[in-house]
Amino acid sequence: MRISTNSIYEAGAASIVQQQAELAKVGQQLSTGQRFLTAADDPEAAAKAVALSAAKAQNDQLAANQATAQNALSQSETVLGSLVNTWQNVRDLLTSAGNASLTDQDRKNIAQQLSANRATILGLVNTRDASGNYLFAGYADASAPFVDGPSGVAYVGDAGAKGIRVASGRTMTINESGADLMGGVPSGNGAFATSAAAGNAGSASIDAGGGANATALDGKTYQVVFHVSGGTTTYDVMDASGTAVSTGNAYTGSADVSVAGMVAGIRGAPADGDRFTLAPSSPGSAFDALDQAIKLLSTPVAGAAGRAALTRGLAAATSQTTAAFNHAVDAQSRAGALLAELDTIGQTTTALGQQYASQLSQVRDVDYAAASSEFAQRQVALQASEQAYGKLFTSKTLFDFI
Amino acid sequence: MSTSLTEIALSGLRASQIGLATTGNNITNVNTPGYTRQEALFAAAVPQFTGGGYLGSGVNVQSVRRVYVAQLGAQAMNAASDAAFAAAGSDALGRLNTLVSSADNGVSPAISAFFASADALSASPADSAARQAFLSDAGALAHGITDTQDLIGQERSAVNGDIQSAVDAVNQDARAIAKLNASIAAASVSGQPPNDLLDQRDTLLTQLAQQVRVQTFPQSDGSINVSIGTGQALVTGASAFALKMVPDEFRSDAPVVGTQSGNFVTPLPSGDLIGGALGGLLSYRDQALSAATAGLGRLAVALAAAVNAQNRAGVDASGAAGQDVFSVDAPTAVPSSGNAGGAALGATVTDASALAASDYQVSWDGSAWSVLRSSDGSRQSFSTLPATVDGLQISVQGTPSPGDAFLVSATRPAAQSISVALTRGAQVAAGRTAASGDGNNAAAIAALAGANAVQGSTPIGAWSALVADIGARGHEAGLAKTATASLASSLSSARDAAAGVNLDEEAMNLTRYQQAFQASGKLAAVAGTLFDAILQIAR
Repeated sequence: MRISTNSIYEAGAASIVQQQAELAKVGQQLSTGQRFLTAADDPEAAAKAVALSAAKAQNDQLAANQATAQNALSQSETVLGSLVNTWQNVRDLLTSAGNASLTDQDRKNIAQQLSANRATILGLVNTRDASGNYLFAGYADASAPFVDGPSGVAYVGDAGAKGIRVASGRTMTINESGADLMGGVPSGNGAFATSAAAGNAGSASIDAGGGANATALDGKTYQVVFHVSGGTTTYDVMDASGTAVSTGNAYTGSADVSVAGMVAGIRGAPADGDRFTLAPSSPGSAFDALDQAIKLLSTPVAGAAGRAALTRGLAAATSQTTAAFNHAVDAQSRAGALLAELDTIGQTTTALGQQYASQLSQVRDVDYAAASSEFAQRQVALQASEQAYGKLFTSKTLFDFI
Repeated sequence: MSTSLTEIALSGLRASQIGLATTGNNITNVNTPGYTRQEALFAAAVPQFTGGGYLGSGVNVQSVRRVYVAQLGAQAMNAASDAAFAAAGSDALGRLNTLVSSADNGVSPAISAFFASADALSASPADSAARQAFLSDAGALAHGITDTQDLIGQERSAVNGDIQSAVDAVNQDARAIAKLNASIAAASVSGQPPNDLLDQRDTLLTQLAQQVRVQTFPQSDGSINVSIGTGQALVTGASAFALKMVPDEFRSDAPVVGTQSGNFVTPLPSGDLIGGALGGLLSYRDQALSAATAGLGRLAVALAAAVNAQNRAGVDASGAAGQDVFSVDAPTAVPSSGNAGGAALGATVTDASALAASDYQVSWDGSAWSVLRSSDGSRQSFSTLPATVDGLQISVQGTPSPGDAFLVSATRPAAQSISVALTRGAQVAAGRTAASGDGNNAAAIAALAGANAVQGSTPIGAWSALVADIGARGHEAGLAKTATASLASSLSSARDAAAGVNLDEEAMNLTRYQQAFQASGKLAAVAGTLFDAILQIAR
């Protein structure tokens, strides 16, 4: 086979240029620390790197969300703890108020302590977080959820559940609704509630009722209507539709009305047409129950009937505040459980973040050991090419001999 | 007899001189590019008939010819053509990949940051800083896309410039070849090959082949006719046709190459111009570069549509219904410059999540509308419009003529124009209700990161598929460049093996002809001595 002179030189030069290019490429890998400079060097790895970066960014965002949830739940749990303690305090006070040896003044003192507790509770449920948002207001967190007014404390927040995404597929509700916390307390004595009509002219009053026969409760509302004519006072018991259950019952200054398993005491002097209602308990506000108890203890007790009314009233207040206490305890333990769950999720997120980082490094970063040895190898190859080319000049041609 | 001896000696001297001259020519031209070594062809002269047999009468130089094997030359030329095609494509794709990889440092983190800020907003929807951050990240995303498209647009201009240069080079070479054809035809009349002119023409043909693949047809008068593409004539005898770039029928930024005769330019379909740098650049511009814009635009349309729809489903800080977060230009439908009818096409996106990364050529053949998807060449036929293809609804107004065509694109306008339409953080619809703590709508926007909003992929999935696609094209092109370059160089070596000058061989030829010259000289001296001897006899 024949070879032209030019081909000899061209082949040598091409080889050197090629080796230089390869060497430069490895050199660039070493200096940038990246295995591939553009996607053309390794398309699959480039696509994987994009996907991994995005997954890592999402994971980091989840970690930030977890921190937010952690802060919110921690604060919530602390406030709820204080709330539980305050309710316990209220229950203890109510229990001590039942002592028969207390005077009216003693009970008034207790009522004042209950007022102080009421203010504490109101402050707790209107707590704000670091950004100024109210904790127990649902979505309407820009303004205080519990507003105190002449007719008691009203809840003006909403029932929104604030969810935070703490893991893919797990959105955690981080707030407690104030309505659930302070509401749902059965009105009256837990079984039924008594009330006097607003237009009553007489001075009679009805106590909280009690001693109900649970099996006889029929869930219906009954009215007691007084008729005063001449010197005789009688009362009728009517159901909601106006049908009389019993009529012409005698009333001599005090009476225990008993209907459908409900027993309530009325004492004092009613006027003609005065009405009193006995209705099944409905969910009411714990603040209302507390206000009722304060009012009860601020009123002087008169006689045996008054004593009975006090006892019934205290029993009702105790059962209502216990319900509120239980709500607070449940809420606190929910918050605690979520915090524990956050810990577990947080560990997974951290581990996943490390995994993504290491996968990304594997795909994208150069292996310094391998690249350094390849660099050395190519340097040797380049030197060999250059030496071989150099030999072409030192070797003799036929012209040297003829 | 002695006189013929002198003539024989003279013929030998002449032949040796010509041999030496040819060898000298070879030696001095060893570095001339495209030079084919020459050799003198000797033949015994016509013998004289004598009574005692045929007597030889010396040597004749028949010709000095090139040692050129046409087949090897043609193979080397075609291989050089393929190598130039692959090199042009690979280098251009290298630039595009660098562009996309650097965009990867802009678009991909911008997508992640946008969804992260939506997530952060859902946790504190009343925080005005969080709302502002959401809008800023949306702006960064929109800019990332439009900046990348700007760079692609600049790359397109640069490639068009390179194509123009290639066309100019083709025209220059074609004119030179035509001139040489005339010279060679004139010089060949004498019957001897004009070796240096032939070498020059071969060099020009190889140069031309590196711009565009050619087919050559040798003619009987010594000229070579050259044609390109599927047979369009470029050089015929002594005349050359020019190539010219003319605007594409639809768009001004994708000019096509056409052959010019007189004032009329016939455009050549780009797919016909294979091989050479011109073919490589055209293929790169119309395939890879268009695919990059289409993928980018499709991401813009689908992402904007999904985020806008979700924002409209919520209420902003003042309780009013949410508006579009991103604004994106509407799809365009450009009529061909050759349309005869008065129809105008319109296009709207009806389902952004079904959008394909492609433009569409819509044409009317007289009885039906044909929709060609540019990315994969698939065709659909509709008897009437409006029709919906890949989430794009195409409608018509007016009457078309048979043969009218339109280019419909939803992706290109979007990639160039995506921007943020909201101006204040309060306009972001973070909640489903107007309550200050309601961040549910922002959470739904954040959840779009994992939704298959872009033709079955998530937004990041669609971007990474685009990066992988351009990367794969670049990778393949790199491999092709190496393979074709190595083939071209080995075929060129094979040609040089026959046609190249080997200095050692020429050294041997020098000594050979020198000795032959000395021998012939000696013969002449002998003939002279014989003549002297005859003269002595006659005294």
